[in-house]
Amino acid sequence: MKKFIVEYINIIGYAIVGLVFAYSSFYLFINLYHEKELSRPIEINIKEDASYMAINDKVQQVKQNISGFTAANYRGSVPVHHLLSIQGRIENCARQFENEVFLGLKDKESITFPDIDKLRKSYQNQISNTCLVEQLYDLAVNDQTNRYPISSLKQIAPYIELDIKNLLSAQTYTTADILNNHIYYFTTDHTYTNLFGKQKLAYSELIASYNKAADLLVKLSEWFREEVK
Amino acid sequence: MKKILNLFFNVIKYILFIIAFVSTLYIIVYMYQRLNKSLTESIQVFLPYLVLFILFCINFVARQKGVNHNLFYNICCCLVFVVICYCGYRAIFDKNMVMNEHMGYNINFNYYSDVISPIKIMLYGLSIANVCFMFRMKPENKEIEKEPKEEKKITKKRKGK
Repeated sequence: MKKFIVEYINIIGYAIVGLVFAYSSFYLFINLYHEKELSRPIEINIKEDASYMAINDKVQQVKQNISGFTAANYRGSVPVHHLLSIQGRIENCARQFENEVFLGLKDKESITFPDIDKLRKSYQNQISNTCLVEQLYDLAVNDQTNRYPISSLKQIAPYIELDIKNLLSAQTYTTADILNNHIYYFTTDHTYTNLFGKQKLAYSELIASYNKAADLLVKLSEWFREEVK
Repeated sequence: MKKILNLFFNVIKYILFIIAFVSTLYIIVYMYQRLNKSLTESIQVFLPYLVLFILFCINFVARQKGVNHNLFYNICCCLVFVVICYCGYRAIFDKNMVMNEHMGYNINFNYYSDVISPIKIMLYGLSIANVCFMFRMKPENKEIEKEPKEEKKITKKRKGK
């Protein structure tokens, strides 16, 4: 009887070890597969992306628009130091588009998940915080603060404010999609397509936001060029 | 061959157990620091390690052959600890999971918190199996069984005379 009970307990022990062995093997393989899948590059060809190339052209156009103004040649009624301040703000903002992460994308042979996240961070730090909030937002609220007594600026200020607010809130869903790539289950074609599809979508939305911010800057530089004629 | 393999996995099991525990401790300390929680609340994460550690000590001190000479059990223990170490490695060093650098600790806490429950299941499973294998029939019964065979031989010889 005792021998029977001991053998029965041993069988239970072997059954439990078998289950633990199967479960740990499954967990190891799924983690190995997930790591391999995440290291694959995302299928994005930056060199053939017209939106990406257009941003550089817009930045050059902004620089060309604001470079025509010099304090010595200005004969208008607006105080020169205000115009110099606005020129400096637009120039600083244009410089943010030439950050290492954004420009470095076209030299990369393959785009991976960390590259998309770095692009998101560069948009957040350089474009949203430094360009839109620190440099351009003062122009947008000028009708309330009256820092720059330029009548044409007061007319376009509400539109600038609206564009800035839209750009600041554009990346909320993109951020969530980029950050949640550690979630996985049985990796099927559907899961793979979903995971990589979201990253490609995030890249497209980031480049679209860069383009919209560049468009805003182009409009501002064209207004500035007209104002200083 | 089986004895060599058993000895190998028996030794590796203890080494991997220490590495797995240290990696879990490292990540849990920073996780609870970020959450502003006391480490005493993490006792439920370390309890299976403690139970298994006590059982391993009993196995070692009492020289329980049912566990120490069980090749399948030793291989399974090594596999479980390898999985725990690998999950810890991924949480700290896999930069393709972009949450790794997001919070500033260079550890993906979201991924590791998903892994804690499977780790507990595997460790408790090993503990229960360890207790089951402690029950083993004692080899003294075999010596008693030998005596009647010797008596039979003596009686056969007497008959032969």
